Amino acid sequence: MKNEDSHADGTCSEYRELSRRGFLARSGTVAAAAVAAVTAPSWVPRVSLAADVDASRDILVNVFLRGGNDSLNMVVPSGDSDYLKARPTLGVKGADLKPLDTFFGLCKPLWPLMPAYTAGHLLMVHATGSTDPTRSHFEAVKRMEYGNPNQPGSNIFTGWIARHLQTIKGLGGPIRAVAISGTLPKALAGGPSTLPIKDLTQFDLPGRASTRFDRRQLISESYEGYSEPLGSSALNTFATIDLLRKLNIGGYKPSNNAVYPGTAFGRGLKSAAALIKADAGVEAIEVDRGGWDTHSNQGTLDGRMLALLQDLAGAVSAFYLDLSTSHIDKFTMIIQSEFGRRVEENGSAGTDHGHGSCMMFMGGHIKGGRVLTKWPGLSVQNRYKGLDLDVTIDFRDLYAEIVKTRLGNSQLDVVFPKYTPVFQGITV
Amino acid sequence: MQESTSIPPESIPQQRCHPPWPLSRRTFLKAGLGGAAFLGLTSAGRAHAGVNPAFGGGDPILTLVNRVTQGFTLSEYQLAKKMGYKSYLEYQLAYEKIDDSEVETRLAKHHLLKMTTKQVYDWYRDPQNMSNRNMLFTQLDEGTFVRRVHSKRQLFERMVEFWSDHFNIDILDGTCRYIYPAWNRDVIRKNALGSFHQLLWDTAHHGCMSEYLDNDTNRVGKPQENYAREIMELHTLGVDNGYTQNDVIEVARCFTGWTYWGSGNSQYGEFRYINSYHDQGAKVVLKNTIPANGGIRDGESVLNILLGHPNTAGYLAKKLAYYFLGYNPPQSVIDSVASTYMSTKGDIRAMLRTLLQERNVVTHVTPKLKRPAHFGASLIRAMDGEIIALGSRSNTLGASLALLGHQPHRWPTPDGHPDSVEAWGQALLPRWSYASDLNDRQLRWADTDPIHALGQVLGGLQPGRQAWAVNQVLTGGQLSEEEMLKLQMFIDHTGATTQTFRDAFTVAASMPGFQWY
Repeated sequence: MKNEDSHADGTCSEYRELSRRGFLARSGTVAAAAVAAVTAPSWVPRVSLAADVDASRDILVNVFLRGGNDSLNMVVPSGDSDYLKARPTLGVKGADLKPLDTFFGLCKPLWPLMPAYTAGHLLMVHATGSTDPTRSHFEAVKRMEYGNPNQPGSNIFTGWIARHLQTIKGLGGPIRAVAISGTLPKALAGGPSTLPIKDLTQFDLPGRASTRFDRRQLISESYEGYSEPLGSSALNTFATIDLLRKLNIGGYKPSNNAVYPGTAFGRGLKSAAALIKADAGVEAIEVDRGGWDTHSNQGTLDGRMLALLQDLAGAVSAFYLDLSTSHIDKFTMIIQSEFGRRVEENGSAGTDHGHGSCMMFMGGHIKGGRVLTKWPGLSVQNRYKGLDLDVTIDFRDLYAEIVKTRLGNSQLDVVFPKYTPVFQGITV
Repeated sequence: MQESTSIPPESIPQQRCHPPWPLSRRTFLKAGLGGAAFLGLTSAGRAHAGVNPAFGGGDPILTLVNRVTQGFTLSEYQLAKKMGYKSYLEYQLAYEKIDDSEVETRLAKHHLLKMTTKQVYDWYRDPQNMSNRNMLFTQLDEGTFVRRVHSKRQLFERMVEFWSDHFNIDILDGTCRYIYPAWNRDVIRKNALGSFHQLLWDTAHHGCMSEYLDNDTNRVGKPQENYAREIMELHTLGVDNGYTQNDVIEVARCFTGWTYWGSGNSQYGEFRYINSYHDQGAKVVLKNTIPANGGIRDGESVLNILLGHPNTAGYLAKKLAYYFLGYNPPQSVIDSVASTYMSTKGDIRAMLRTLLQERNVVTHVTPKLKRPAHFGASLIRAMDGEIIALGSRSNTLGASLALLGHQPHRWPTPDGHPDSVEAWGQALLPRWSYASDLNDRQLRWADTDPIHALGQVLGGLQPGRQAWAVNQVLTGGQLSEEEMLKLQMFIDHTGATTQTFRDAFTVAASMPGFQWY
């Protein structure tokens, strides 16, 4: 990873200079573009925007922290006197906290996120999440990613991002959403032109070059008109092979000397940054980080939690630095988990499945630099079922506002069925 | 590679349209209509119009072979055909009687799979083995995949796969890696076609599950709910199926003190009950009162309550029917399997006998998308290829399965690898790449030979018939005739060399028809 990341060129990368939109803007006319295309590097994506869509809408970067993350130990309610009572050994305090306001402090491993917070580009929303009572990971994840909690027996099997994409015109690129993952997360299930890609730098048919064209032809024809989702999958796969070949993500150099961690999550966000800068018509990118189910040996500033927090902070702060000067207005990032964890620590130096949690929102159009909350309090009588941080802001209020104001989609009743969201003023 | 015995065309599955090739394109399009009219197959309620009936094409024996194995082979089909439906099913169910010594020979070098947990631990921690530690992961992956591909006890291996997901454990979690070989051997494989009562009992009394779901830290006054929740949600009753959060808390109390012997002990990883860690108070589980001072009997009572619960019967029956029949199994079949569970006290074989009876398979089987590792195994099996399993530290097999997104023993969450079109239907390139790498001998752990594969069919290497033979080899002739016509044109155009046949198998295995079973 070191080689990949250690570029000395802090100036505007050729990547950014030659992104499709910048390229066309400089070329001025279609004719000039056509001429220039001959000499342009092969990785300039040949994407033409659909003329009648609002190209100013943000690219959504969806980060899911799988396992239920203990946000009480991340964005710490140090102003709540019940916090340390419930967390006699796991509680974070004193010099390990940086004040976010007079009530909340940020735990030390997340301090790399402070520049984004101070710049007003990072918003914390606390005591939020899904109001669904389930404490099952799988049900919680499903109901959240389908954007459809509290409706048992529902026959909705598509993700909220997928339904957003279904109800708005694409930007004209071959692939509208990517999960940097081996399988498709449920938030994207059923999405048009949507693919999981584990590694964006290696995406092509292997085998001998002399027959590649014929093999591709035979395979691609066999999927023509084939039943969904395989038919579209194949189509998207070939279009994406072509696109990624042109983009050359492996050669991507971050701006501002941003260094991503060499982890799968770090590589994922780095690829996401490359896709955003390439401006290739991708509208949503999901990068997940698992491992947050810290039932035991969670630790405060050590234990299992530390590596998780360092990876999160390292990758997200690098992503911010990378995009902050040129593309801060082009994306909105959501960082979420299926639920928070129990207020009281358990006997194994860990925490059990809880309810409410803290989410983070990042981007140039996010009204950040603050912790938004309707704090319910951590005393037993204020807890959800006497056990957990309550949810006082439904996650759909937050997501819906982003869908409407940043992704330009008014069909909120389709994206979040049977729910009337109340916007919380998280975007500018 | 086994001796090639060519199979005469009359004993291979019937096709919708016979050679001789080539047919005119028009004839093909007409013949193709029969296949295209295949409708009404659903996954989660959605139609898969145009799916090839690669799962059997109306031949019950072909369907059964596809369902109970890790992939069609001409020889397995021939065997089943010779035995007849019922005898073949009984043959697979009575797995102990099938001589599988050949597969054990293949795994002779895999010494870590035969060790106790203490032995594995000591081996792993021995400084001399420091650079070879990865052998543990290689041997686990190879052990599983070699058996899936090469074992004659195919239905048994399908059930090992099923229970490995049902009682999922991630070997990278905590210290699970040391305990996993014993878990896989002494719990999952031991009971895969035995009694569910014994299976659940053994899972609850094993250090691997205790470690994975943190029950080793579940103690009086500080109950740990992880195992308590999953045993009801995933192992027995099913999610939100007749229990409350209060039941979770009470079950956790019942299992306080259920832990395992630590690494300093020769019984490392085996069950250990520590009475002083146990909550001796009275509990109420699913409306059953469990009196105070029950000690170890509290947890045992929970197991018995769950095992005798009709929701466990229904949940298991539904999961098995989903696994073997299709994404929307009919309630009547689920009910009959559940009733077998209740009347036989969880006899897995009896449940499968009810489930897989010919009437059910003929009437209720609908196409399922092969999961990636299933796809991977099925291609080697069909080609009569070979896994070269060295048990060394270089885990190239594991790497291939990881690229497919479906490496065994490594699903992080306790729900096991998903089994749905939604989960796997988007990622086609990993399959295409695998097929290509396998055929081009880019995978160091596998050996396939397209000439040998075609030689399984009489006349399979004859000019003009190779694509037809590819289809016979891979699916018993269920791939689209029109696509095979084009494939033959490709072969003729590129030249009938070994490398061309490699390409031909790659292409055919990449087509939609080979993704289903």
